[in-house]
Amino acid sequence: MLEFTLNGTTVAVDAPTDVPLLWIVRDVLGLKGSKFGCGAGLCGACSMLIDGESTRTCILPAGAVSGRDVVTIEGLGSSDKPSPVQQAWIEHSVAQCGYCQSGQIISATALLAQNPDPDDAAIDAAMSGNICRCGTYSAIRTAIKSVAVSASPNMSEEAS
Amino acid sequence: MDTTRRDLLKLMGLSTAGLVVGCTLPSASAVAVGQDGWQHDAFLHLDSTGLLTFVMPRAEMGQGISHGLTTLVAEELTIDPAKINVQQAPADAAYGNPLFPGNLQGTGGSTSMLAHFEGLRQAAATMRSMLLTAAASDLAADPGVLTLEEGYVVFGHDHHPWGRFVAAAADIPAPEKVPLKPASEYRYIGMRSPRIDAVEKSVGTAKFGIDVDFEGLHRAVVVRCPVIGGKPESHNGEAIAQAPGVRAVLAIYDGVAVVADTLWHAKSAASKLEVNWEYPEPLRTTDSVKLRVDMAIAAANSAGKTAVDEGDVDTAFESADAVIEAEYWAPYLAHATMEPMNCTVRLSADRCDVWTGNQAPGLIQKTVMTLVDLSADQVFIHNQYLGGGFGRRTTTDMVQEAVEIAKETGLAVQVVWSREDDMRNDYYRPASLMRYRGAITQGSLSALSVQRTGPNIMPYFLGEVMDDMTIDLLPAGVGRFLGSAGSWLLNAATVDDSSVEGLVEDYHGVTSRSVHHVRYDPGLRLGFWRSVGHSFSAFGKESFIDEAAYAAGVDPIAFRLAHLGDNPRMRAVLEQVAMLSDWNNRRSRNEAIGIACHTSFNTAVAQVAKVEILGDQIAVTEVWCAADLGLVVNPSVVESQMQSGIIFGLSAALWGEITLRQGEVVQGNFNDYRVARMREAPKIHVTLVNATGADAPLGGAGEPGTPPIAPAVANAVFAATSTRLRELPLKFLQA
Repeated sequence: MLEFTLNGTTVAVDAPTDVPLLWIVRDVLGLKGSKFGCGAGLCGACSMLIDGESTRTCILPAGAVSGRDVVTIEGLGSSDKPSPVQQAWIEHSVAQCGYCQSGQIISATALLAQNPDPDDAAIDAAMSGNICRCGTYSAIRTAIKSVAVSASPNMSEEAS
Repeated sequence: MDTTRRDLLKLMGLSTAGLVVGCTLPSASAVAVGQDGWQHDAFLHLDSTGLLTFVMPRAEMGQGISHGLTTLVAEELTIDPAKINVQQAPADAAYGNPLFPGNLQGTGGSTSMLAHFEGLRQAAATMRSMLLTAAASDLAADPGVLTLEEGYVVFGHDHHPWGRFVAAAADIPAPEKVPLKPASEYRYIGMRSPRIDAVEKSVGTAKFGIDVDFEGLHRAVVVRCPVIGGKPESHNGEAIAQAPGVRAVLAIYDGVAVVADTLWHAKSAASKLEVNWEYPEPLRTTDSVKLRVDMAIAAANSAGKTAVDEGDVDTAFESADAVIEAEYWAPYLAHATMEPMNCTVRLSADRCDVWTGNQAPGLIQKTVMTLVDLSADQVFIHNQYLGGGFGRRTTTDMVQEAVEIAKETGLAVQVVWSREDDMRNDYYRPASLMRYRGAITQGSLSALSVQRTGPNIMPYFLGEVMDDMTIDLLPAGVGRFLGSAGSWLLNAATVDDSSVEGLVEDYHGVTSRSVHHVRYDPGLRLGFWRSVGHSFSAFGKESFIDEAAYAAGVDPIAFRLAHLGDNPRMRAVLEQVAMLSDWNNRRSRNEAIGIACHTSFNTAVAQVAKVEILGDQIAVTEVWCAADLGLVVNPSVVESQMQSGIIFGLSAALWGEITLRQGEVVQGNFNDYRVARMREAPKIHVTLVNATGADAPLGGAGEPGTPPIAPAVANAVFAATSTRLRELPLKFLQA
């Protein structure tokens, strides 16, 4: 029995531990916000926070998160109470098709937790593992900077 | 709207009695509206609680049409678009695209806003009129003094919830033609507002086809022939049928399907599947290097069919001061939508439900009807958000797979493609060879001539859809025969417009122009790739016009302006982009900038790209873009579409290439089919202009941003290095 913390709640799953975490979360636990894009850790659509790090879960055996802390897009906030990063995404209408944006928001959240005021180079480094075929990169950059400048106190509050 | 209320009632299978309160939408189960209320027409429903439901006829694939069309409705009913309950339309003739042949229910060709700009506003204005008439009677007021305001009927200082008048409004005969709001009173059209789908797409609740799930749903993977079009001859399915979780292994039209309880059970078993294939010819013997040579030979051996012949091209060349010639190449391309193809089907004796995200739900319904013995009212298409479309999701191949599996196994099934499945079973942008000739006389182009060699897209589409399109009229199979006959006709007798569109059109000022076409097709299936023929024709045309400008010794923007003739939108965007990019000053400082402009889907776009060359690497650092599509419903959405088109085109310009080895697509994932990432995305500045006034035809937004970027970058590379890169993707030849 595989046990880990998912969005703040301990879950126990009876599934083979070599199955990628993404499919356990999507198809066993029913959280569909994290997406399948490439199955090779190349596009970032499947990103989840694992102990705070943005991690590609389409190639991560579920057994690797035993006892660890996993946060998906659903764990960041909701339509009634979006997280500061999600709020910035909404205000800047970042999403086009929207398919990659869960992964983008997870990576941006990890970046801002570690570096509350990232410059362009830091954004490039942290966000280049997440592909967006709609080309929303400029809006993503703007949204990240809006959180960094105006809402960083809230971020550190949430992290504490 | 063309369709009268009476027709719509008939369509919905209702009597033509006045009562429409509480009636249901066509294919009602597909759309969630209030329990009671007023079904004004196929698009609008208002319930007694005041909830307005808009049934969105087009597919939302990121282009923002859900926001755009909802804004039209919101304007005439004076309510914030964010307060409207937007539902994806079921498959039904009521939701056809009036700009598509046969009113096909499809989304593409950057047509959606033009298709619905009048009709949807008229529908909403009619609803407004009926509501106000009912309210006037109820309140004993003159209808002329009542207004709508965010879900209320306003009478003097009093606000009455509009849901109160629903029952009475439904009994009022629909007025013939209600005046639309004048542009001076627009509150939502032309304004910036957060997209209505922004919240669900930021918190992970937006539902895509791959997210569909329910009790009893099985997952399937399909092992397809390495060469597209091959059929399974035999397989060792029995050997894996007992593997854990596996429910069935069966041959279907394009491969062998493994159906299991979970996706990983299916994938795991499928990895042990062995299949003998009947390979398609001549594709099986096609290699990309040889294909390129064979295409050049075909181009040399035939003048081709004439698509354009204006003025006197031969005389212009004979009397020219100088003649320049150049040859350009564009490769096959995949769409690589972020969401790989998938489809979910549940089938019973008298009903079929299909869940997927597709640009053509109308076609899907007909595809199902060719495969199972059901009528249209038994086939329910639940269109989801599309995780990218770009033209890929216009076909129904993934639906056919899922329906075949469901039919043979009796199981509800979701077919999920891997990234490699998706990359290697696409409908590709056709490879193209373009040979340009230009006659330069006294510093001007007096003639422009081009021959395009390559395959045609339309026969592949026709071949696939003809059976579907004619299912109501002809027995299955006859349509397919007609499709192939039509394909033969297109290839043999005419020129497919999508093979030659955009090759010369922008330069009306060049009085002698010719376009010829040579068909050469190794048999790799083709489809519509964002901007279709313009995706390659702009590269040829705008690279060549740049070469001509340099040959004539004229500034590239001035040279383009001098050859536009009567082309006011293009003139405006060229002048705008010159200002926006500070073109003249940058040129005088010898900065590495290049210009390209192109009209597609009624929208003129000009782009200036700035590059940095580091060794043999090309980095695009900044792009300035001016676009004229006439009236703009939401500038934020349109600017985003220009950005999107530029990034999409840039990926293709720098890296995009699908190659074949013995007919097999070599590329499989984002490691060998590279696309732009954050660190490679240039800073982009977009400005929108409207040179032709409020009443000019609306241009498209989703596609026109893509064509100019590749030539703009190539022209910037020339400015930086004096090297002309005439092949896509752009790369310096190895020394």
